[in-house]
Amino acid sequence: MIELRGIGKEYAQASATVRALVDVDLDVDAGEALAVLGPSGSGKSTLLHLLGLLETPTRGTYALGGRAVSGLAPDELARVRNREVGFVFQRFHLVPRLDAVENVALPMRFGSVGRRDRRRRALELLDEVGLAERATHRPAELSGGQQQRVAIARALALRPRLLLADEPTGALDQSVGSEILELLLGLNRGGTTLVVVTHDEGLAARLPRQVRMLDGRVERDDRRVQSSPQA
Amino acid sequence: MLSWILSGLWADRVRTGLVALGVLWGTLGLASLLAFGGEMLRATSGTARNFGVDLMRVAGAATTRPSRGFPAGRSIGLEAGDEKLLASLPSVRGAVLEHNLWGRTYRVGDARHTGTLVGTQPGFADLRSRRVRPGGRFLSERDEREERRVCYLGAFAARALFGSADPIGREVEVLGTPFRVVGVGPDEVQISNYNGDERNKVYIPASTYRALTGRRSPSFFVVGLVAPNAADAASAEILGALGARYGFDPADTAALEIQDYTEMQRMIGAILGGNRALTALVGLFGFLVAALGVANATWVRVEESRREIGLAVALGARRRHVMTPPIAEAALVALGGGAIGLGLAAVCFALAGMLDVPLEVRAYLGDPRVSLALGGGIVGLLAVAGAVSGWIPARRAARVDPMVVLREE
Repeated sequence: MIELRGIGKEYAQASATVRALVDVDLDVDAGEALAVLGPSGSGKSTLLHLLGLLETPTRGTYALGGRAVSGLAPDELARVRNREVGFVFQRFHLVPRLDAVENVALPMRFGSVGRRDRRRRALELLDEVGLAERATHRPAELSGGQQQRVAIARALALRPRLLLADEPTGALDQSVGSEILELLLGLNRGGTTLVVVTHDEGLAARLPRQVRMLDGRVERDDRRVQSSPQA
Repeated sequence: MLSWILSGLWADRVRTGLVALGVLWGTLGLASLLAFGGEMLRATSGTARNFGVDLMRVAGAATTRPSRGFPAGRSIGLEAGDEKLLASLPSVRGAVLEHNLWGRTYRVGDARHTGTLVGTQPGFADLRSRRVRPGGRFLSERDEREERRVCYLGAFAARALFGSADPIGREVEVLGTPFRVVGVGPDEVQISNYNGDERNKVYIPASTYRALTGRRSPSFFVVGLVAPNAADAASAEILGALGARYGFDPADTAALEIQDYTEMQRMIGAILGGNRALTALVGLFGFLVAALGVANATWVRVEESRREIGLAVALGARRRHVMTPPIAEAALVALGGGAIGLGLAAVCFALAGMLDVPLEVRAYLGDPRVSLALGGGIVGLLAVAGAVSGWIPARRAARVDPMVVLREE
C-alpha cells in the first residue's frame, strides 16, 4: 500500500536548513494499522502529511497503492488525496457553518459527486458512526466525541484505502478517546489501512505496529505478530 | 460549487450585506449620475437646437470710417432683397429677413394677447428651427408671393387666444386685419432668444407685413452658416458684400451689427462637455471605490477562512475549488449589490417621471431613465470588476499551506 524509499524532507529557514525527515524507508501493507510515535519535532507529523500528499519529499520516492506519487502535479496530487486518503485531525476541523451532513459530504463535493448522492452517502456514514439523529446539527451543537465521529465519517466519504489520523484522541477525554480509537480499529478491521500519529503510548499499544521516530529518522519499527488486523 | 459559495456568503452575511450595500449605494449614485448626465446632455443639446444652429444675426449700424466720399458716422440701413446677396455667400447656407414690431396686441373675440409681430420669409422655419404642431404649417412661398393674411402662432399666443381649441383655420385680428391661422408652434423652451420668447410671437409673411405697415426696412437678417466654425469667414464675406453694396469699408466692422450665435453654441458645448467629463470621472471613481471595497472584503474573508481553505485542500480540493469561491463571491456581491442598486435607481426615476415637472426644468434635465443597455452594461462591468477584485485574494487562497493552518489552534 505504502512504499517510502530514502525519503528526506528539508525546510529552509532564516538561519539554517531544518531536516524534518532523513532517509526514511517504510512499507505499510494494505489493511495494516500502525502508530507513529515520537517526541515533538521528531518528524512524525511531517511523515503523516507526506503520506497524505500534503507535502512532497525533498528526496526519495513514494508509491501509494503501487503508483509513484512523489512527482505528481498539485491538482493530480489533490485528486489522489481526495480519492485515496482520508484525514482525521486532533481538532476535528469541521466547518462551523455546515451541519454534520454537509461536513461529511465535503470531500465528495471536491470529488464531483452529485448533490443527491453526496447527501445519501453522508447520511449512511453518519448512521455508521452512530450520529444519524445528529445529521442536521452544526459542530457547535455537538460534543467533542461526536465531532470526531463526524470527522471520521467525513474521512470515509469516498471510501479511501488509507486513513491518516493525527492525534485523533488528543482533544478528547479518555473514555471518549477510547471509543474513537475503537471506531478507527473497526474500520481497519474492515480493510482500511490505518496510520495514527500519536505521542500516547497507551493508544499506540492497541495498534499492532508501532513506528518510532527520532530526529527525522525511523528509530524502531515494532510489529506485534500475534494479532492480525484482518481477523 | 454554487451552494458552497452561497453558504459562504450567508455565513458572513453581515459583512457581505454591508459590502453589497456599499456597491448598491455606489451603483445607485453611478446610475443616477449617468442617467442625469446623459439625459441632461440630450435635453440641453435639444433645447439649444430649438433656437437654430450655426446662426448669425445681421443688422445695419453706423460707419466709423469715411469711405467712397461718405463721412464716418453714416447709418447703414439694410433693405429687403439683401437676404439674397447674403444667401449667395460661400460660408452661408441660407438667409432670411425679419421685420419685428414690438408689443402688438392680437384679438380673437374677447381674448387678447400681446407679443412681438414678426414679418418673415418661409426659410425662417428651417433656419430658426420653427417646428409646427400636427395639422399645421409654417409660412409658404405662396403666402409671401401673394401677401396673404395668414399667420403662424407661438404656443403661448395660441393658448391665450384660443385656449385648448385648435386654432388652425380660425381667424385672429392682427394689425386690425383678420388673419387665418395656418400653423402653431410647439411649446418648447429655447436657451436663447431675441425680442422676447418665441412662444409669444405671431409670424406673418414679410410681404404682408410691409403692405400693412408700410415699413420697408427689415429689422435684421437671420443668416445660417455652412458650419459652426465658418463664423469668421462669414463675417468677412458679409462685410465685404454689404460694404460693396452700401459703400462702406469692409474693415469697418462697426458698420454692421453682427451677432454671432456660434459663440453661444461653443459655450454650451463646453459646459456639456465638462459635465460629461465630470460624470465620467465621478463614475470611474465610484467604480474603483466599489471594486476596492469588494476586493478588501474578499481579502478579509480569505484571511479569515484560511483554516477552512487549508481543510479543503487536505480533503482534496483542487486549485479551481480554492480559487473559484473568492472570485465568484466577489462577483456575486458586486452583481447583487449592483443589480439592486440599478433596480432602485430605475424605480426612483420611474417615480420621479410621474411628477409634474415644469417644462423649463425638463428642457434642461430631460426625462432621466435607467436604460436597459446602460443598466446591463453597469451590472456586467460590476460583475467583471468584482471578479477581478476577487482574483488577488483567490491567488492568496491558493497559496494557503494546509499543514500550517491545520496546525494552528
